[in-house]
Amino acid sequence: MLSVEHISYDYPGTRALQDVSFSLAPQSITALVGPNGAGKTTLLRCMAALTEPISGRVLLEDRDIHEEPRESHKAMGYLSDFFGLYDDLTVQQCLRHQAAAQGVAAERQTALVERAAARTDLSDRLKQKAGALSRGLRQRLAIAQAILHEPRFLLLDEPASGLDPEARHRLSDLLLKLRDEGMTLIVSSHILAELRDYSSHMLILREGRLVHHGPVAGETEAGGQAAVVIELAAPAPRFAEVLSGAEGVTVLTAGETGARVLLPEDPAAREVLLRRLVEAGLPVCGFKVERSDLQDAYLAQVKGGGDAA
Amino acid sequence: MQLNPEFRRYLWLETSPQRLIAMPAILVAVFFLVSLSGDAGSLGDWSLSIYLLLVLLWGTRLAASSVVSEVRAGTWDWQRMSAVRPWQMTWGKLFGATVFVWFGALICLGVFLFSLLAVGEGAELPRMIFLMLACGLLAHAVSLAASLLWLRRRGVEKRSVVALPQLLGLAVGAYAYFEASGALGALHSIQVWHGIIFSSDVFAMISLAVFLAWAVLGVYRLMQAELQVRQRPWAWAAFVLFVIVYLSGLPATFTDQQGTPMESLALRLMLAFWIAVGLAYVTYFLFEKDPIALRGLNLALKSGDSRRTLRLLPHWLIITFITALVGLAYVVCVLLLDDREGLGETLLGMDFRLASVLITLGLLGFLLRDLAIILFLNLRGGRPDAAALVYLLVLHLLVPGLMGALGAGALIGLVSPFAHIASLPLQFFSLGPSVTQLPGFMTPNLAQVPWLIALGSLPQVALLLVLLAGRWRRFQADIDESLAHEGV
Repeated sequence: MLSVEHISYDYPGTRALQDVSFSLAPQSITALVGPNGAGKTTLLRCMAALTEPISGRVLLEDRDIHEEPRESHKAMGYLSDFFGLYDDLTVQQCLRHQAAAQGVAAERQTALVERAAARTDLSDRLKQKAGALSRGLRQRLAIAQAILHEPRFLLLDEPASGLDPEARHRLSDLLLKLRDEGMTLIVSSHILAELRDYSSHMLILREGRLVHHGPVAGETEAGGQAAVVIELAAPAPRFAEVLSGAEGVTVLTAGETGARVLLPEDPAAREVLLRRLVEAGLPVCGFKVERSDLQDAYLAQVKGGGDAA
Repeated sequence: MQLNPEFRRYLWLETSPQRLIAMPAILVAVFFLVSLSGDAGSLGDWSLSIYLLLVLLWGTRLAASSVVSEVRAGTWDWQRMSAVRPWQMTWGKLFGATVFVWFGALICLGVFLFSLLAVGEGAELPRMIFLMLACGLLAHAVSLAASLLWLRRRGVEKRSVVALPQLLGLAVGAYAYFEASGALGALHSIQVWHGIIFSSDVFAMISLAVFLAWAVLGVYRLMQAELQVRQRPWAWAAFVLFVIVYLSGLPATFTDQQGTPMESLALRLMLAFWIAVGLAYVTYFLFEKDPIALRGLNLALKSGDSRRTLRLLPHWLIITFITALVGLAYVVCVLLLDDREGLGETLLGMDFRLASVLITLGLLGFLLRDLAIILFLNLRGGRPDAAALVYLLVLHLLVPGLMGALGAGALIGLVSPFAHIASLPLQFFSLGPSVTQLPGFMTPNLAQVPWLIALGSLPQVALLLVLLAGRWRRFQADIDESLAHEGV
């Protein structure tokens, strides 16, 4: 568990972080969002033990990471907004150096280098110099360096800035894969669109203050509910009636050609509802779990003043 | 056992086959040309000169830029996020960044040693090996330490972040080499240090080894800070104490034949106090005076967190305290002395004990005044240390000069203590001209000087402390207002 407890950080004349506290849910991807100057980078650097807050602490499994930062770094990976690479080293040398610098035993280094390269699709570029890589490949190498020692926590500061759509898509896939393999991630960005595809939680900072932290709507907690959008190919007057008769379904909106309902997160509940609609003779042409629009959620939180969770 | 990862990285970067062939090929060509002269001595001179050029010019450059270049390239955060320990990083940088220079330098060293053997000076080999290696390492360590210090204060944008540390390392390395090699060449000469007699060459070698150890420790401590390892600020204080003890033991005129052991001790303490004052000024300008760190200290004090308080104690505070303690030791020692007419007369024509107390208090007062000026400017931002340096030069040089020229030389002690009492160490330690050779404005009615200095400093210290407190409250209020403005 990575927890932040009452962190404050000052710059001359201004407070960058004010009494920020939260814990990252295990095996989650938290979108750290907020306007420019909200304190996102400062927060990440405090969490990575690269900067010490003026008060408060960051706990990694109940240990203050600033007490023993070098040990903490074995469990953490961090990718800075303005990262650099050793341009004169090959991809393989970059990864081997990173493995050694993270204290990986010599006999494990080769395997970990190959695994990190495979995870980031760099296996065929190991002999290429880092300085000769394209921006997207450099980003992948940087992420490979950050995850090489298989940290449990990965902190990424604006990882997709400057990437083309295809590279962003690959990044998104990679982050989801890392989460599925057990990693807990926090990813900062002020471009919400790039976070939408993979974030399970959202943490909003504004003017150094935690405005909101919680699951993204539609990415419900266990035992919660999911919103489902249903579309019909032709108008059906009985549509609302069939929906309201279904067990465990809460109708949010319903018309003759479409509806939005809440039902248990369990996929079996969706299967039951879909079968009922089809058996009732309704011309269902669309049935999908509604992913939240992160931007709407963010704006709603910011405009509503937020609820620090 | 694994090779130091940082050292291995430099091996990959610095030792390409082409470079490994080029360096010895060029050196062998040069030495072959020189050897054609048939003079083993000139071969030694050439190899020594090239060694010094490589180590002191090129090596210091590489050492000074080893971390700076990483910060500029954006790779330093990787290192800071790694599990590499500060000692590993220290050695990795010291020997890694300069590995190619050492490759060439060791070839030169080998040729130099060969030339020594050729002229029958083989007995010199161990000392020369130590001297040359230690001076090179000292230069590199000083350059690296200075660049780390400069980096924390000025960021990486300035060219000076490499140039000045390189220059400092070069100067220290060259000074150490020429001093120590001079001592090696001075047969049968001795060095008396705090009454202990050493042969000059042994003293030079020991001094070099000790200062090298301090330099490496300095790099290690700064590397700890870079890698966010928590530390207490004892190392600089220990170094300052060492330098005070080391330097105050050097003047040859401090022999016990001059007076009683107590009088000798008083003179040493007086010199120690002067050295401490000088080192306090060095400390004030050398280390960052981050107001945010002061705010953290303030919070730690208020919350009663003694560990954090101790960790955040600024160097300027500790060294000022040490300086005051040395001053106090001097005053106590002087007060314990028996009346001695001769010494009393030497001390500005008044009771030497009273004069000593007043001068010590005055010096401490002016030190506090200047510290308050430096801190005040640091709370304002901009380029505070440069501004503070200008103001202090004005106060200690320009204004006394103007006062002297305008016939108000007797009052100089109200502005700066140094012009008047500079004559004291000159008299006592035979370090320069006697009182009669000093400019007139430095020797006014000397009996007034201690009073002028002591009383003149007090209102200035009080005024500056009031201004500093006001500035501190405003600095705190600015941050608090930003919170209120943000509705936090």
